[in-house]
Amino acid sequence: MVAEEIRDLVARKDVDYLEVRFEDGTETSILISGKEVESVSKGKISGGNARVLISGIWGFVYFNNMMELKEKIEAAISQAKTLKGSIKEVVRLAPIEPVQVTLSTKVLKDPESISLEDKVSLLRHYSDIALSVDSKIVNTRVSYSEIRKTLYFANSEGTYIKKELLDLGGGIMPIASNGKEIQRTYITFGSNSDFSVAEKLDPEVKEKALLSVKLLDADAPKGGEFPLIVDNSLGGVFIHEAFGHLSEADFLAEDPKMKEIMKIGNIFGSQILNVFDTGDIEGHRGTLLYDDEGVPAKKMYLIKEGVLSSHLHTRETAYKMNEEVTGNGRAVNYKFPPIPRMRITCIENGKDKFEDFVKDIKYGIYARGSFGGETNTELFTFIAENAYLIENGQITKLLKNVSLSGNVFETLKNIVGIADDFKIIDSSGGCGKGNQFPLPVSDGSPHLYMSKAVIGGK
Amino acid sequence: MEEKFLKIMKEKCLSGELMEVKVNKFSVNFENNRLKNIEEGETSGVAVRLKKNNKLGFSYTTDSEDIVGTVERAYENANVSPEVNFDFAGPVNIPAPICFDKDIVNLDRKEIIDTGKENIDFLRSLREGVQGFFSMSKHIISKKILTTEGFSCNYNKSILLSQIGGVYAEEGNILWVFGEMGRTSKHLLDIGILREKIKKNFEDAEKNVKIERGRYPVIFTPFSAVYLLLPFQFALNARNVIKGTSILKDKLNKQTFSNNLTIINDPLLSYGIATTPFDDEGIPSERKALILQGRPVNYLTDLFSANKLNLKPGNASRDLSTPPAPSFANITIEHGNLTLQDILKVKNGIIIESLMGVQMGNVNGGEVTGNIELGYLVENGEIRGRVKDAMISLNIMDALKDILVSQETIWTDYLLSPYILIPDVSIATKS
Repeated sequence: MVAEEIRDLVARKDVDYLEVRFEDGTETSILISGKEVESVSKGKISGGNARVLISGIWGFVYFNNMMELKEKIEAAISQAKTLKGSIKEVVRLAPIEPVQVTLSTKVLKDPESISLEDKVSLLRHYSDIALSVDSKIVNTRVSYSEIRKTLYFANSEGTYIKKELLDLGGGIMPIASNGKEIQRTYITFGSNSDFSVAEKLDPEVKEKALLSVKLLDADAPKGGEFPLIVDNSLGGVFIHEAFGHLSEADFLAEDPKMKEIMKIGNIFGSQILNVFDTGDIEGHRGTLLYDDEGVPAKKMYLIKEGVLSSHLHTRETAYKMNEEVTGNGRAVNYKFPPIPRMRITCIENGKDKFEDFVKDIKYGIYARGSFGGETNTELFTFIAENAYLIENGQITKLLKNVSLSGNVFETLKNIVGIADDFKIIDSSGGCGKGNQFPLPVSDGSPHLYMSKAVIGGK
Repeated sequence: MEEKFLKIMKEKCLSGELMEVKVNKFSVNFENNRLKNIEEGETSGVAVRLKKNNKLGFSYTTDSEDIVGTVERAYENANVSPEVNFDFAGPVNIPAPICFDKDIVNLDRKEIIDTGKENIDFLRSLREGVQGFFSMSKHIISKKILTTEGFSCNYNKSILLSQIGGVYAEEGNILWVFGEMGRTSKHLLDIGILREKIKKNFEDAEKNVKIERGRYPVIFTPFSAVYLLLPFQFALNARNVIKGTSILKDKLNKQTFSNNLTIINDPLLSYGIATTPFDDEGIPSERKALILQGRPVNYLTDLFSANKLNLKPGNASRDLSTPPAPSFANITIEHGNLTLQDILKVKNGIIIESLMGVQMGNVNGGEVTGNIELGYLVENGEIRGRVKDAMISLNIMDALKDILVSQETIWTDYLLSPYILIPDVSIATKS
């Protein structure tokens, strides 16, 4: 179906608002396990949805076949009409300027220029390196995924956006065993434009394979509350899990108590703490110029010098909270409507030195690398790939199975040092919220020094 | 399409498998104490696996007309794909499916909306200021598998899923309470069980209590027992046994856990959420003990791993875009003789209702480590209050050597579990 036909179908006057999203693309994935290729797949996915607002009530229908668009629009309209009377609080959308744009990512090294055979060979090469490091590396899991799609968006206000999107990511996990227990480490990469992030990882693979083996003989940490330093990777996961999700306005817009807790102007940390969410840094999985409602993706400071500065919005939540639109309305695919989601979420660079954090700690933990995290908006937890004990200002013993947790509000205030070594981390997978997983996002942070955090342990 | 697939396979002298899936979804969502929206949709697709010189090519598409292109992609992928020695499923008798209920198909939006309103009223009555959420979705699935070896079977399945919960926020304290349940029979989806749980959670979490760091008896409820199953999902997967990364790889028929631990995988359970007449490779479903009185007795298998280990296949699961792999179906953890009252009579114990972060930890190594999202201190049968800012850390290989299980059991999604008491578990807390 061509652009003009879509535009004609959405240009209706008998609805408050109508939008159509449609995507069409290919997915490639490769999984290597040890010496063997476990699976290779290449699929073709297409699907779309119609979302309509009538008398302030949404209707939403998704489908695979674009030729059915006209009848699906009618189904969404009929759905919204039948709900009239059942929904008392109506939806209004914050206004935006209509745009007509075609967007394409500037691709540096195109994965399409690399054959499937060469991609498989590269991943096997990493697996072989890891396996050759030590006989205790009993297996590996090396994965790669690549999604390339064209996304069309049109609404009844005159916006029409066509985006060419690329999203690639993967990981290398050397798995060590001594017959009794299993330990693993992880090298991960991701980009929206450059296959070279998957290349030249040999030194890291060797280093991480050795670390997997060393972790077998490491001690588990003593459980309790200790001073903590986290590296860039964990710092990024922390701010994503602990504060990014809390800033998503669908949790706030209709809950008076949450609105009070997350009121702009409330103090969340010391003056050294600056947190932002943006789509405008090129080359990352979370890079985004327009969100899935056609809103320009703005850089938003969530915390400025310790003070809460903004929330992350869809057009619906921005109207409800009488705040500006931010460009955070995102949907993981055509089966879902957009909801407030993060893009590239970061703690801004500080002025401190990592070395000074270590010197300051008598007994504490230096946690490195991330296996991910989870939050319920108040409590958060994240899993470190590995950690070291800090004793009397010195990094000493390696620690395994380290998970960290805390109360979001307290932990942000416990950040007493922010280093000057900011880095954005792109990893495979993505962010999950409700049933919408995995949404491509990126996190960034320098090393952080927290005066205390709870460490799980023996 | 099926004829076209078989014709292409015949022309190319290949053996192959075609899976066709169609899903109709209808869901009603309440958020912040009100009806939020309805979402509905229909998706369909086909997935092809074929053997080319014993290499397994795989591809899929949402365009059911594109069978030629899908076969071509699978044929090309086969060049770099794994070598396999198994045969695709052949003609076989399959058990009658017990996973379809026309009452789910006929369930209309008014009835779902009325159920939602009633449940939101219930949530609001629990505590002033609770923001309630509720969703009910029906998924009507039809699946067919066809192979060049002569297997050609299909089934219809109707899933009714419900999620219900509430959040209560105040300065310095946010409480999330939720439960979910799914069945393939409308009449077996008992939201009353979830309401009872949520009511009790709000009552038990009325006040917060502080505990010291240390070792405690810990009780997993039927709603949180799923966290203990995560390491088993990995360790019982026959593919991990082959790779040497299963902590149960040398444990078959050896006493490894408490006598009180028996875990059964049952894809034939009447109206279970994971009930199917055959698995996702066309192997007839069978009930199978995985852990019998503390001894691992079977692994979860698919055609690939069963062929390598000389075992029976039958536990493969997949969605449209992923190749099959061994997975749990409906799981039963067998009950014991103790009453819940007996279990709760611990002197100073922790009840776990939900955890955060467990699945990201070293579950491959048997670790169950996470933040206690919702848990309580229990003293001599009395709930003393909610435990916060605490982390649990255990390894199933040690912790499950000594457990007690209750008579009482509750079905959640795919799991029927008793209350499980582990006498000695590390809990870390704030100073």
